Amino acid sequence: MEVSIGSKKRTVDVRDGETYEDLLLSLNLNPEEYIVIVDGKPVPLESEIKEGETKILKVVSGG
Amino acid sequence: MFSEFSEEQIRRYARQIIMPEIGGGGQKKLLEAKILVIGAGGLGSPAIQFLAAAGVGKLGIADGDNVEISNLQRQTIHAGNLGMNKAESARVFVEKLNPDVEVEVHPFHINAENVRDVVKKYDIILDCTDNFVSRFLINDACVIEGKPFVHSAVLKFYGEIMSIVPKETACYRCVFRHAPPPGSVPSCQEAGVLGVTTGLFGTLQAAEAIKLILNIGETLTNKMLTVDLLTMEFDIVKLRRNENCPICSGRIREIIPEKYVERCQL
Repeated sequence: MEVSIGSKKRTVDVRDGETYEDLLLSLNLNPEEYIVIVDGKPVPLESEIKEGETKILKVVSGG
Repeated sequence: MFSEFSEEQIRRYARQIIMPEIGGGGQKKLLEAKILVIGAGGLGSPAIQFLAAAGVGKLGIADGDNVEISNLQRQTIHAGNLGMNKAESARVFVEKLNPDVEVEVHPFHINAENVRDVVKKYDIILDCTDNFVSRFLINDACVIEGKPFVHSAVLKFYGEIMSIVPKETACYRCVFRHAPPPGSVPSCQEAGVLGVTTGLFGTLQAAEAIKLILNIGETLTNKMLTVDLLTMEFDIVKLRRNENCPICSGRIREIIPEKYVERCQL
């Protein structure tokens, strides 16, 4: 499947039953510092990966 | 139209009035607008500077902190005001820059008890705070009060910005739902931030607020702009309202103070 992190696109192999948390870990991203947006909505990281436009968004709060 | 402006105003705003997107009518709208900037720090300082310069008629500025020397690397409006309350310091800057702008200072931290009373006095709100609890609080209060607002957050060379029109477009909680565990995401104090990053995103917040007031162009509603200045990657993430969002759906209509600690889960 294709995943976007910022403007960079990555192609990753996904096995049946893998979750979005598995996806983040496979990309060496800390699940507490990122959220996953699929077709415009956030998905629970523990949910199974599904088809859709998948974007990974960093979580920041500084100002 | 131009008889409504003084000679000085016509000269001051000439570069804006000449643009067909603004014109005399748009300038009048700006002079009648009331915008609240919550946080007069890294994001708030440039936002205040350009909103005041553009001739926003009333600027509310809320901040309970005092100016420290470590702020001046990015919060340039506070030059010469070490130790002064930041909202008061910002007022000094605005009064020197543009006497057309009425400043209302809120020299305290916005919290669950005071947020709705402050927010309801303004047309547009800018979230220029630096922590998750304030961000969820401002989001929820603005949606409940029906006030459009502009969110931004930064860290190091990276930032994000989105605009929210309550009940019409995705809100901050539609996207983030709740705060991450305390300590899991570094703050600017811990990880650092470039002055240019806050300067860019605070300025973008001012641009969004001006467009929302004038109802021109395209705003960052239902989308988040992210920029990484280290790699010069600019990206737009398309967003949709979450029908299960407890605030957007109207399921929760009050600010419940005990919810605004750590994770901000509703």
